[in-house]
Amino acid sequence: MLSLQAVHKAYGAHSVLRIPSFHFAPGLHWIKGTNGSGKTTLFKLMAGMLAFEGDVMHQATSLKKQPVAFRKLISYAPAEPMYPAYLSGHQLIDFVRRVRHASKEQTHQLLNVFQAADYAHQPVGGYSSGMLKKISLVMALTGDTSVLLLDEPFVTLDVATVQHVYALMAERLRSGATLLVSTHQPWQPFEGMEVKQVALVDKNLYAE
Amino acid sequence: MMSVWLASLARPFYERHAGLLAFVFFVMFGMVESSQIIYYHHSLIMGALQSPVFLLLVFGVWLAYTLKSLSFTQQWLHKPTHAFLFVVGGLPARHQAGMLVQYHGFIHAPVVVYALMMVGVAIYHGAWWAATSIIAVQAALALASVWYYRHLLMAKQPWRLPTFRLSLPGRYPLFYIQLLLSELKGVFFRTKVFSWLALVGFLQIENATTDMRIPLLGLSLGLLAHTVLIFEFRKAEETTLAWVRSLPWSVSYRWRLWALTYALVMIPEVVVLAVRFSTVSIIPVGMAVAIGFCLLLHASLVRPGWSMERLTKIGFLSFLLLFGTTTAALYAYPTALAWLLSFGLYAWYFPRADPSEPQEKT
Repeated sequence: MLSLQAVHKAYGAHSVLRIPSFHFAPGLHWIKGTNGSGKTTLFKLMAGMLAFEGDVMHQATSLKKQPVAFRKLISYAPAEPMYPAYLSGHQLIDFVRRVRHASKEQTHQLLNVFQAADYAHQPVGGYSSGMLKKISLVMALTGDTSVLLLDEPFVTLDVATVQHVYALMAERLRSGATLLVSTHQPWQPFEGMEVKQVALVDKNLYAE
Repeated sequence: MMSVWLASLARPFYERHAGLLAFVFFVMFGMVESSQIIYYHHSLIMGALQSPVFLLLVFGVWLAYTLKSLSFTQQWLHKPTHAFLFVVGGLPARHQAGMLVQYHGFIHAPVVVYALMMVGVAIYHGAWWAATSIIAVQAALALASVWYYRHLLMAKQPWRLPTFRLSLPGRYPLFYIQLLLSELKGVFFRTKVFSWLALVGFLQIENATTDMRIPLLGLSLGLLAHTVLIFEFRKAEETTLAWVRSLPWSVSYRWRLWALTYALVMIPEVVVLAVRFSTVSIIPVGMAVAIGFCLLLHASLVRPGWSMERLTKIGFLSFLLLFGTTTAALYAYPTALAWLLSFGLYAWYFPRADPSEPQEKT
């Protein structure tokens, strides 16, 4: 169970999130919200990238009290990935692979699934947004984290790759993972996939 | 037109470098009793005129100053707020060249004035070869600068060091080394040239190979030049590498990785020290001083609202403290303090601050 407890996030005087309590059971959760509602802030906060008040817990592990152990359980693919232009996809993926103690076979397989192996040796500065998105998804899926935060994972991807993302998500769900996905794209639930919808409205989360 | 050009470029150049220029002025004129200033500078100039190595070092400093001014002009000329200055490119070539020569003279006034003093002393003592070489170097720097300003005004691509692609293993400290060798080649080159000149300059002093204070004074001056690199590292840490925050690393591990990164950056200086100094004890001492200084400056930028101005102030104060204590052979204290303080600042602020870009003046 992934839980948010008394979470409050503000940028200066501007409050963005105020979530007294919310629990995500294992499974697929579609985080819905209008532009600017705070979805990306929520994802970054849960990924440990932002300072905030309150706490996020997963499997009795607290982000605030056990920051390293918590981060081992969670991975995040940003909506608009930004990496150093001079590094190659291979360098970035290899780096994440080592940090997450993942196998070379896994990253090799992911690169093949996303058809990114051909260009991964080039610096990311020359990538299109779709190519960059694929690399960010490979990085997020590297390892065996039990929580996946996918912020707009389908944007800029071609139709075939979107199907691969669905298949990889289904694989993670079968292993008992918790997936939080935000998207404005038409949702294509696949067989056996139960999508729990969660609305982010007025800075708070509501199950629908 | 000339006054607008000077107000738009020369004035900000001196404003930006006021601290460094004030320091150089202090070293050159403030550390000597007023009654001794003429004798001191006469001796200094005679030393340069009689030693080709010393003279080459002086030329190296002038070259570094010129590269700095060219880089500044290029950077500011390409700011959107300064785009109107390209109108100068439409002036007749003669008029344009006259303006650019004046601009070069204005920017290089401190260097040109001292070069003229050197030429005067050289002629008085009949050192014709030295006088000729000083004039030739100054003329070459002026011509090269004017040519490059014209090159920029013709909206041609800025000159860059030859590109080569270096692919290092996917390790966090090496990301920053690759940043230096790919996107910051020019800054890295200038920093290392300045640092090397500072080190080699101090190593010319008597007893420099046996008295550890002397090379450490040179090192501390060289470290001051590294503030720009530290700033760029912080910028990368907070922008294109901000996602690393989500990886399962403790704050102390991240801080240790920074210590390793700065150890890699300081390898050239430590090699110079190891080669020139009489005992190998200079290696751990030099490394500890250098890493401590860089870590402190880095950690001081983790607080929100960080900027180049803050770094310049803290860098200059840290340098003065290190320079002063090193003179009294007490460098161990500021070094230990820098290590401890940097860890404290980093461990406190890093988890409590969102990734943020620097506040920069336009």
